[in-house]
Amino acid sequence: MENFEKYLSSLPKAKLSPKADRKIKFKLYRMIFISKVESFFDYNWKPILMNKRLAVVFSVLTIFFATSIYAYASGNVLPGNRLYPLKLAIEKIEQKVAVSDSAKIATNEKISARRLEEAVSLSKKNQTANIVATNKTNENIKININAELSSHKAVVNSILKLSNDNDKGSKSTEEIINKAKINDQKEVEYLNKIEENARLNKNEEVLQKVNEAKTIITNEKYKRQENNSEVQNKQLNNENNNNYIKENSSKNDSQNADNRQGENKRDNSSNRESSDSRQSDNNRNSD
Amino acid sequence: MRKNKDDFIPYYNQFKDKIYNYFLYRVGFDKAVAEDLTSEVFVKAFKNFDGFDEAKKFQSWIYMIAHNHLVNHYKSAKRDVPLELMENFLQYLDKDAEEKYELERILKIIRCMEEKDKEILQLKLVDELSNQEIADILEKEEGAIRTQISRSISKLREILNNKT
Repeated sequence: MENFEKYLSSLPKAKLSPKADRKIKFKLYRMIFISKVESFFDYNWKPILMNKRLAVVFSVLTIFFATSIYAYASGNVLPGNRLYPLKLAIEKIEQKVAVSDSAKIATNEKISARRLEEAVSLSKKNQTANIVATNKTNENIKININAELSSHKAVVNSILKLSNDNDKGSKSTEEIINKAKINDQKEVEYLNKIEENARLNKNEEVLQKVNEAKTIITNEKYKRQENNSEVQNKQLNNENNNNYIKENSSKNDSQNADNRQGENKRDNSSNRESSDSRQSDNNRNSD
Repeated sequence: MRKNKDDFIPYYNQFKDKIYNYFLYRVGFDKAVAEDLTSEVFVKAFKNFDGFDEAKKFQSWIYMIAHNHLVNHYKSAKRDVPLELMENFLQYLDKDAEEKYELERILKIIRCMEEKDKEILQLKLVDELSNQEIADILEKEEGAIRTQISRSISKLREILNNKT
């Protein structure tokens, strides 16, 4: 067996499988990234990035935030859904975060519109559900309409407060009122849709609730209009007062001017009279 | 001195197959274990890349890490190498039946030799490393390695001649 060296040198050279190669490269590139982050911040991030507990916490937080965003933004999360309480909780936070009156109004308007949107979707769903489910959905629709009414009330009260505080009726207040009017129209449209669906299903409970809501919204509307007219009246009164004061002051000014002119005239005539008497005296003396 | 870590990737591309081969022939042609060990070695090398002396050859350095890692692997695993895997591996070679038979026989004999002979023969004949590189890996003088290689080869030749 002399040529065993030849045999051994001709042994095949195996190659790393592409899958294993990719795995190793991924590990290496991840470590390169970590080392770059470390050198960039000059801080040892590795324990944080490699720590399993922190990774678990991070992933749990990511899942929580993703679920919250889904619950908040999705139109499919309706009352009865497991994520619905999360949606309401986020809305509560949103309401608390809104500090200024205009922000509060905008948030409440958004929430009231959302409650009605949900109620519309529920009333659509109700068409195919069984009796137990129908009762539950009816309950949810009512709850939604009540929630909408309470946020609607909050909007109306804030607008009233704003317009009372700001008697002059600034542009921003006018804009808010106009927006609220548009929102009212939208709300009525939603209620009409719910009414339509309830009629199709012959759902008296919901119909009754919708009618109640409509009357409340229209009453609130009138209240707002009254308040607006009051404010306008106040404005008018203020303007009238201002005009009256201006007129009076101009009249006084003209009267004063006339008086001055009269006095001047009188002065002139008396001056003339005195000069005439002086001239006659002089004439007499010369005679 | 801190090195640019991006420089490691070309080294990896150059030596990944050699290191994989090194492990494959030493873990009884178990591909999964060889892949795992290759991965661990390159991760270890990457972590210690700042300590790599560029005046020396990267090949010697990475083989040294692989050698130490293999020793640790055997210490912790304490496993025997299954012979069937080697037979399977040789089965797919593009060679004559006689050649395959001879190779299998040589490899089996090498496997049964003393640890230091086995290692040095594999480094020299299978991995085709130079004496200097083997000396770097085993942390010995080149002259000592040369003597060791000639002794191990003559031992192998003797066993093969006796068996035939």
